[in-house]
Amino acid sequence: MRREPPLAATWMLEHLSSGARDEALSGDLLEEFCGGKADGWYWRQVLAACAVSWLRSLRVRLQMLAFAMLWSMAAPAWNRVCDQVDTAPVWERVWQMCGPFWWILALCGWTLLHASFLWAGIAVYVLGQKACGHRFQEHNIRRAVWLAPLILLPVYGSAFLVASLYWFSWFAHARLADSLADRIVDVRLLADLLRIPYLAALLGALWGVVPLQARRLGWAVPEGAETEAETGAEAPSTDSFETRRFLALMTGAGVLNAMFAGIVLVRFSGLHTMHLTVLLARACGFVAVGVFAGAVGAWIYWKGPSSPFREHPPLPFGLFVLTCASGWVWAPAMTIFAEQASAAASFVAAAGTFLLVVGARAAFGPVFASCGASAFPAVQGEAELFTDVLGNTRIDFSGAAIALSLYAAGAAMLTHWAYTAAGLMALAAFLFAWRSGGAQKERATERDAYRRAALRLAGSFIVAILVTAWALLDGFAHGDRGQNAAVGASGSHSALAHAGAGSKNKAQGGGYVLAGYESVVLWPYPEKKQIVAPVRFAELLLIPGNTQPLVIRFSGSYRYVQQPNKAPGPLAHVAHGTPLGVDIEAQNRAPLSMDAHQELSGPVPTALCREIEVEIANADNREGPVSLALLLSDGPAGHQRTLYLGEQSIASMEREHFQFKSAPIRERLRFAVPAEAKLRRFSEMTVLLLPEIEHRFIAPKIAVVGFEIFPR
Amino acid sequence: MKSRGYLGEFELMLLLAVLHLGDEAYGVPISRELERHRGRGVSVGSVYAALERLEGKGLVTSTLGDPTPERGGKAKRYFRMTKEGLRQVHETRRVLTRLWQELPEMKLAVEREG
Repeated sequence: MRREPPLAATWMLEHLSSGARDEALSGDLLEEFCGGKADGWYWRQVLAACAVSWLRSLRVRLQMLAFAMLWSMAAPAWNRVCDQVDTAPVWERVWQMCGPFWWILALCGWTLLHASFLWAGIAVYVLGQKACGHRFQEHNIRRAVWLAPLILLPVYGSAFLVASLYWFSWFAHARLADSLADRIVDVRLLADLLRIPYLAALLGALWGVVPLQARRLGWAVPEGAETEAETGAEAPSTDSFETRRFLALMTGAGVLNAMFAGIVLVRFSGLHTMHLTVLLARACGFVAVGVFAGAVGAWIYWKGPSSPFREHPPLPFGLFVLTCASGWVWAPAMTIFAEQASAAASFVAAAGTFLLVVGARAAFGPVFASCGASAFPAVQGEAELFTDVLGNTRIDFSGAAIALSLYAAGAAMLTHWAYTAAGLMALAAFLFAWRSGGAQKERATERDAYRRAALRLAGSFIVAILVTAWALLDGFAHGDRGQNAAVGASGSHSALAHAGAGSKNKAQGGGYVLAGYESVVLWPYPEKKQIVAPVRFAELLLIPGNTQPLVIRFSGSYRYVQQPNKAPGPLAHVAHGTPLGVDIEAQNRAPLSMDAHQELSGPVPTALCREIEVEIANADNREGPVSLALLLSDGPAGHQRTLYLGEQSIASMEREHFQFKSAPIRERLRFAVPAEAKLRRFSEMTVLLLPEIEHRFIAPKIAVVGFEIFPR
Repeated sequence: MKSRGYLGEFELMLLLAVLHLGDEAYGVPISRELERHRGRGVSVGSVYAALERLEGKGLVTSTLGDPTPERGGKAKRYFRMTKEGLRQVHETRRVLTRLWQELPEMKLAVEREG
């Protein structure tokens, strides 16, 4: 019996190493393996081949890597230019003129603006290399120009999403240097975070732009027509297994991309009003973005260096997209339902998968038939005679797999694991459609294939829009949980009283839970009415010889929001209470952010202040560090100037000092005010509570008692 | 104009193995030949990497053979030395021999053993 080498190692050799030697090398390894070499030997050979390949690939691109890193250093500076363009007042008028479709224009403008930095980088690199006597293939440069923005968009979105999800508190208040030169040499985390998308996009775009001389020296990954033209080698034919594998990979990549787009859209869209037109327009946009994202994901793999379809596609890419899009259109709806932990997500996933597989069988069947291999399981009527198959009957586990998937999906639904349930239902639908459907063996004309795929997509598109609108409506009806953050609050006594126009659940007494607010604003109890003349802080601080601090009792609000929101939205739940008496927690996976905001009755000159002391009361009994930061600001909302005074750890929350608190512990933290601050005066003070992982989803029970401003 | 660079140790061994194997010089026999003479294993991937580098320098050429079933339908890649490769091998040998001969104690030791 012939031995087979480890599948994973073979996969690595085929996908993770590069070069025209792949076929010869894998053949050599297989020959030696069949000659008696062990599995370990095969693995060592494969790993060595991959390492050699990566090193060679990197070596030929050392100049490009160095250039991309240097160029991306300027990205934070370019970002400032983009910010200035973004905030130009003229755009407000343009957006108003565009109506509800302003975001399309905004997205295109944003992409062009940021991509121009990359295009400039590509131009500088290519011109520099040409000046050194290197030559390039024109189509590689054209591809780099197209590829740069396509890579930038998802990487930028992902970086922003990850930063918002995991470092929201820090991210919201981190600042870059002011001058362009300082931004270029800034190596702090925020600047580096800004550089990453540009670096990734530049590397991805320039990866294929390798000078021809390097290719001839045998350093480069052989790709493109020039290699074939130079060597005169015949184009390798793609076998059915390879074709099937890559088609599955590209379809999967499209589905994942569409889902990712759905998740991003769900996180960042705010739907506070329920008009049918808006709802349908939004649903249409979601579905269209899902298709677009799916097509982009598939295209990247289709045109990838290791893709056999790059030179010899088994079917036109347009037909592939039209076919698969009938499945991708369901991804946004599924995502929205899943974000609401709704069981409908599973059924939408199953329906989408079923339609995708049925469409794929119809469209791809002739491709495999022409490859001379059966890609699909035999269906009734196509099987061999009974006597012929007696000797080699195969055990079919697909039925058992479907049943197991369905049971597991049911269990996942019961425990509200929406994504898991959706994945399992999709698997069941995939197996069912794959085993039961019939492949179209006759090759239809290309026109017919396009027509059928377009009709199928049109039908799926309309239904998907309606389902997506239903999903959005469902989210709106259930407290907009899918669209925004969900913050739950429970009162330890009857403290929470309904006071906001947007809140919907009325307090019923102790021990209840108010679920699904987009954010919560907590005001301290109003004290007895006192008639106090407006305090002129500046004059108090200017009294000659005064060393006594100016004491300000905290009377502002506590604000609880979830990213990406920075401030409470129009549907914020407004109530009275203090953080010491209520439990506020996130009801989804988005971290909770808490701050205490104090407005002053008049502006305070920053130059007169030496230090500001914040007194807090801590009643939190969950162990885990929490830091406190102080932010001074001035000016109207939206155009505020701020001064960040840094952050300090709350000692009573540190692990070594932690103890169970039966009564709130008072603690004071002092922040120095710089003498030469750019902020001349401030009229607002914001205390930011920056918790570690233990408190990211449950707000710390820490209240601000007051502030003491020490004169300089 | 081709750059005049002397061959590295591994490259020289590879070229000699290719020369020795003649028409049967492809990945597996070349690796075995190197293993036999060096006394330790060699990665087939690095053999191909070095051969491709030599091919880039114009010292060897390669051609694809017919796919065979025992190799999973994969073709063999046969290597053959070019005239330039042969010239460089001779040149390297000449330089190395001269260098060795100019070492007095080594020369004496070789004469004594001889």
